[in-house]
Amino acid sequence: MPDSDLDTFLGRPPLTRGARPLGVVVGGSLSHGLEVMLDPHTVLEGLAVGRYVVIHGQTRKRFFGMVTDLSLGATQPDLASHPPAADDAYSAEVLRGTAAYGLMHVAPMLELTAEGGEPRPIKTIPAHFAQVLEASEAEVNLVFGAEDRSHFHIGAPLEMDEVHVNLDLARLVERSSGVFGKSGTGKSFITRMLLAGVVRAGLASCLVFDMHNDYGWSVRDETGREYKGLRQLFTDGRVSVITLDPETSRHRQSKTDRELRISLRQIEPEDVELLAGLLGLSEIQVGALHFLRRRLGRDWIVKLLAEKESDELKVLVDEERLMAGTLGAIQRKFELFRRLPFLQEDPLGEDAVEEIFARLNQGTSVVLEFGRYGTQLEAYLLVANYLTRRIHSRYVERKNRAAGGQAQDPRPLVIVIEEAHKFLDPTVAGHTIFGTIARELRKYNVTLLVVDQRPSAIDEEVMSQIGTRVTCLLDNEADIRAVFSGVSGAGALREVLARLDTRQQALILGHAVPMPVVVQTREYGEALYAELTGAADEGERKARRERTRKTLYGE
Amino acid sequence: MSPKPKPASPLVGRVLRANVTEFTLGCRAQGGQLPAFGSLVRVAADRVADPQAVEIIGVVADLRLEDDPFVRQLVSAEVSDEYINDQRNRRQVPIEVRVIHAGYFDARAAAWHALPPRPPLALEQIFACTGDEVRRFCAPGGPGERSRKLGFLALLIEAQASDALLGAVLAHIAQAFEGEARVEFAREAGRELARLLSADVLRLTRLLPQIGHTLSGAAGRA
Repeated sequence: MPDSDLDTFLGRPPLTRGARPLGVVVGGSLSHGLEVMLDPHTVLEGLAVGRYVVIHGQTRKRFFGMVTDLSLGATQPDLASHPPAADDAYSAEVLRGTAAYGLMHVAPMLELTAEGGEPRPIKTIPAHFAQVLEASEAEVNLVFGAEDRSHFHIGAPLEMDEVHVNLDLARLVERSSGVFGKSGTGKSFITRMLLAGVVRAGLASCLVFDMHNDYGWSVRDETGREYKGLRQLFTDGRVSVITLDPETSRHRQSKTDRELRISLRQIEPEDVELLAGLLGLSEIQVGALHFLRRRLGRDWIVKLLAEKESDELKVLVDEERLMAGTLGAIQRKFELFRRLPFLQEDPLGEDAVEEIFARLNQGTSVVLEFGRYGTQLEAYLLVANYLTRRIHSRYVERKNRAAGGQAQDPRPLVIVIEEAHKFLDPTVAGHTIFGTIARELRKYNVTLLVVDQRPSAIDEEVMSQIGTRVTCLLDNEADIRAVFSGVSGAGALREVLARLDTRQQALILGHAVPMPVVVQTREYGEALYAELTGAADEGERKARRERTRKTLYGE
Repeated sequence: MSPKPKPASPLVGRVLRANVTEFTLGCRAQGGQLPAFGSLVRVAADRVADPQAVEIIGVVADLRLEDDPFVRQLVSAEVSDEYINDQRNRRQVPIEVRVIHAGYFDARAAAWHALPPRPPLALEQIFACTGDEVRRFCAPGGPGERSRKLGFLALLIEAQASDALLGAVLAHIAQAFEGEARVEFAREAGRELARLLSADVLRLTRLLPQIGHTLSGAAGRA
């Protein structure tokens, strides 16, 4: 019986229009992915890890997967000992793809049914010799959904410039998330883009501890090109910039809404505890801080920093309640506070914490610029810890009152911290506010967006609670392992991550995307500005959705 | 449906003996009129027994000139060239040509690369295949099928065809195509052989360069 008759008899499903056949499934498993033998016509060099493929099953199901590895195989090991001569192009050409062939490792992720509908996680795999095709734009669009207010276009899959990968922002802010990558891989750009999406969608307020002044006002890249900050993108008051360093903000011509000063009288030992490692405070000295706070009252730091030692301190030493050496060490280490002008005994103005909480609760996102203090990690940790502890406690209180019907639910809040491993180090994560927020998920409507280049230094338990991970290039094995902790089938994605470009590429996996995706992040420029400020052509978006629908389902 | 005589196809001989995998034809012709090693020939099938198998296609796998006592005498005798030519053309012992079955055409003129259901009848006429017949024999099978039919290679390998025969038959078939089609045929045929002989790496790596060389020679001759 000729093949054509067999096709008629067996009812081979028609191939997706325009899709390029790549090969057939020759092995694999649900847990470890599928091995695909490439067709002789498929140019191995034309493929890349991170690309999407669709596997046509026997039951009209399509399995949507990602290329996670490429390798070379041969039907006989002897072939490697008898390669064609260098000038024998004919033998090389015919052996390539037959006796010697390319293999593609595919991690199947989702199942697309012939009836349409939402893609579902796979629970089975296609049989041997199922045909593997390059995923069409329509299929990728089907997986990543249409762009709308809460689905933010963050970039395009590799080699599919016309396809939009849309991040589900509602799910992004629902749990803590992370942006990871080596230094210089574009973490800040991606974070700024994500925050812009969240602000535009109005799904949560953001409190950004802006260590390097990257988010509030304009920044320049290495080439000198200027990019708008969040405050410039949202000129309607949806973003406030508060500065710790008004002088630097002035020099940068950054428009700020207020200056933040913190009263030394409001600092509690718990605010300082996180700095123990940086300040070199021993466990005994940390314990002494609590003792001093209890004995000296709200002015404990003021008294410790006073030029003339107070009688109260002398009494404590004399009574041998506190070793003179311990006290002296604490005082020496607290000298740091003198070098931070935003820490004042009696700052003027209203309570900064209350004001920030009010802004956040009204839907205004707050970017706290650190100015030149961003280079002082102690300042960054102290302020972030100080504010977060207080704002979180207000959220807890508001949430509890809302549960009792006495108040409205507080507006969801995303707290953005950089150098996150300093806050979430395994030695401190268990008892810092950041560890608590990461672990309690969205219980109190507060989540974290951690930005870090050393995810391996973040507590494992906290990492496991990071719902969405946006990862730029990482090459440290421990960091790669950390990013994939708690992710099933992560082994296959490691190769993908290790081979990202150094700029503008990221692997996104987790809660906010239906499947792991490598994106060429979109250009942070005029087109994005226009879209964020509502100037983008809505008609064009509708037309694109209509084209996708027609491609998938016909007229 | 009976095959129409094709004037362009020269008659090469008649069937002497046959089985399902091959037949032997006998002919008188010598020199330029003999079918070439590796060329394709066709013979009408037993239409009474197999109405669907209309024409069997075979590959010339060997040509054998048997001697007889008279020829032995002539070898050692001193005779004129005219006498020799006369004996060559009129001798009683025919030249035997071994043909391996490569497939057949059915009543709808569709090519099948499989053994014919029955061998041809004794004394059936055998014709050399024309370029058009060769192309039809290797043409893609049906709608949606892109590759040429190359199943005859499996039959030849199963019939213990030598490397030389495989090279010769591919060179003959390649000559039926022109330009890019010939290059594409060479590529597809090579890949088919690579698949069929993938377990015999030594033979494959010896055979492919020969075929490549033969096919480039065929291209040069065309």
